[in-house]
Amino acid sequence: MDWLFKEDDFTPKKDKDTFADKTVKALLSAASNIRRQDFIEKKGFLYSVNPALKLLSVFVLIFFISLSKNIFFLLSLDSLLIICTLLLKNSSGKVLYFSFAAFAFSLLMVFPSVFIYKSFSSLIIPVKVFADIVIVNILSITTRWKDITKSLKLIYVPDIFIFILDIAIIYIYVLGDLALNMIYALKIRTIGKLDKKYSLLSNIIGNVFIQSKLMSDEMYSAMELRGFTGEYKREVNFKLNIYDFIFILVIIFMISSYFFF
Amino acid sequence: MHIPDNYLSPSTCAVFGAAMIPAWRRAVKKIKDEIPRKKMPMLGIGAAFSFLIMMFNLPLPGGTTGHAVGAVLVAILLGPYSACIAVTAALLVQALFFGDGGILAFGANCFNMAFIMPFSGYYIFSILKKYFKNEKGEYIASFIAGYIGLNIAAFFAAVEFGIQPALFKDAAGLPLYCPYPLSVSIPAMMIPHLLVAGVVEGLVTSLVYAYVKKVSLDTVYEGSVSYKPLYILIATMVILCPLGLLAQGTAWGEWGAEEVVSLLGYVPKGMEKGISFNSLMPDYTVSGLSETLGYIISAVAGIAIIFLIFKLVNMKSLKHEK
Amino acid sequence: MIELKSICFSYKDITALNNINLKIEKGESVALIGPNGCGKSTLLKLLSGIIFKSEGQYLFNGTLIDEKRMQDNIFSKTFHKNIGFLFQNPQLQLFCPTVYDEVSFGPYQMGFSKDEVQKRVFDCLNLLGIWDLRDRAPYNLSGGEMKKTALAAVLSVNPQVILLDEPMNGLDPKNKKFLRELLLRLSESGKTIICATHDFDYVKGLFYRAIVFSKEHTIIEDAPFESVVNNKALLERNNII
Repeated sequence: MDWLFKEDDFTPKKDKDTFADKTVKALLSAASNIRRQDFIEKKGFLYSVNPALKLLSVFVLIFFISLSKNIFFLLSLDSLLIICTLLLKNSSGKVLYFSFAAFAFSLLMVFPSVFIYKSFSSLIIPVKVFADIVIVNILSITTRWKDITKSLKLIYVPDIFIFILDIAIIYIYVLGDLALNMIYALKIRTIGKLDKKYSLLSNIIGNVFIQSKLMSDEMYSAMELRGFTGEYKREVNFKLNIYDFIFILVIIFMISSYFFF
Repeated sequence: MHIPDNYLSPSTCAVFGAAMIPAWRRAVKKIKDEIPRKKMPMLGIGAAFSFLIMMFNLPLPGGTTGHAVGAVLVAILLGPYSACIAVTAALLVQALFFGDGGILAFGANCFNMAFIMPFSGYYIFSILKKYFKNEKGEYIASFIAGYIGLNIAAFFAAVEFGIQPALFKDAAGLPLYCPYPLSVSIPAMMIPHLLVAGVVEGLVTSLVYAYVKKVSLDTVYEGSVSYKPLYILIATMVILCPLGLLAQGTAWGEWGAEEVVSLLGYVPKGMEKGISFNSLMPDYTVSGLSETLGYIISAVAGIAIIFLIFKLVNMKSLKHEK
Repeated sequence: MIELKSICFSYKDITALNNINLKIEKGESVALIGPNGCGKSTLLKLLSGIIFKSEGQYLFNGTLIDEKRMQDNIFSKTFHKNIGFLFQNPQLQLFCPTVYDEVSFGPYQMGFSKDEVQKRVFDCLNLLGIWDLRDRAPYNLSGGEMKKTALAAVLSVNPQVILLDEPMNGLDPKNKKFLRELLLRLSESGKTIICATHDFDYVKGLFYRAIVFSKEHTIIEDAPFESVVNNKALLERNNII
């Protein structure tokens, strides 16, 4: 027992363990995206537009982007979206960073096709990908997610699935925090070379699963105690205000420009 | 594995979205039968779990990292039907809020990762389990299930990419969506999946399964699964093919994609409409619309026929039980 | 040994630590006191190298600890070896299939022979009185047993500094008394102990120094433990009691 009351003479061995840092980063960024929901203020144009309307517009825009073959339409749409992003109150840097990263990645992916077809036509894809990523990010940043999931009712997503989505978002946060802390624990307790990295990470994933199972049982009991009968109804608000009409005009303008270009 | 938007044509996306509807319906029905109500929170939490599996970076040789998809693991732990719904929810959260995976391509992504992958993985696991009786054999079975499940899903994604240039070209014969034909997309997708990603998937599947089983056996799914959903897929393909012909009325091979047809056999002929549909796009005419409509109708009719077949199969099996 | 110079930390826009200046010498035993959400846990996370300051400087044995320094694989491992951290929720800290694996996790990495590892694990488990639990799965244990397992895992690598986040939480009186004795012994043997707590009765005589946080996330008092605990006015003013 005396070892505990003396100091060790110990020099650790070098090891590659970027995987822990990368996992921490991924978990933190997911968590902060979810936490951000609580701080969305209903001030500012895009923030005030009806969430259901926003969601539908996202679908429509992405559909037309996918159909378009006109690079001028797409480039002007991209510029317009960049301006919209810069007008966001926060996170605009992050949105642009992610979108340009997606653009670059997509460019890398389609570029070799230039040599197959001796034509640059496929390079239109990254331009489209950029627009899509910006659009989805703007939706996700300016709208509370529970308003978005609720709006899915408009496209006939059943209530029960919306319920599942809502729980999923909460528990990505809760279980993500659990996973994060376990990775932290693994990190600070890693003082030498890890032999069985896969086993350890799998243990953590397994623990997250066992916890999720326990949580879901408890959650069901709690729900039942509070009178849950299996029905989950959420109502979509489709009252439009002045912002919504301006927004509709903007979207109509974008779509009609698709036909004019 | 997450297909972004603009690599698949909207009509391809519509087909896969439509193909998922019967799968989702059946999954929901099955879950309701298995454990009514009680599973509902588990599905949400299971969705969160499958979302998080993809966040875990695993070390690869050479110092880089990769991640598992986890659909086979979720299927083994929660059952394939629950996995289908849980992975669907996870994919929707990713597509809608994190920009990971396309919104139009959501149906295709679900088809690969929420349908093909968990079901094929689960079937492989349950078949192999019968042959390997001992515990170690079970872990090997789960490794194989993860490995093959992921690779089948990757193969479907590769095919979805690869049929694009043959089916959707502009007037000059240049591809409108994914530019790589099957001869490129299949090796590009399959080589890394067969060599690396599949091994990662298999390891995670079997190690997590082993861990959960070791420390908490009672949490593992113990249901029996009928092999019917396996036929949904086959039926979808078989049925969509002649229906496309009906809606179209033109001959095969007009669009010079014999290799596609010979390779796949089931490529819905209706997809060909996508070509003219898109070449008409600059002056988006009613005819373009009606052709899409025709295509969608054929897809819907296909689904209806599948349902009919299922009804018949169900009635037959009910009679058997009696 | 540990020196913090005008440390600030914020999660996104939320401040968790505000201008913290602190010096802790080797062998000291320090209690961190403050109302819920005042930043005690954040400070412990920062000290253990899980998170890094937004502003200011953190020096450990004279070396600046920041994200860049911790990229150095060998340095970060030596650092983690020297600082052990018992989480507030020990469940989050345990990721091995059995209690034995959990406690042997550290020693194995230190390159000990099998016998030495076994000795260390045996010693730790016996010290905490949980030898009988060695084959159990950690997640199945009671809260107190989990805490002891986590503590055994921390002690098995023999850190110089031990950080504890509300260690008395969820323990029954007997275990609280036991933990106090153990910490006392560790402290006497020269280990530095930094402990967030609001359970004053059970830690009497253990700490020489108390650091009080206000809900503004800053230090408002740094004085001998006894004098702080007896200063009811100060504690009440800061919503601690």
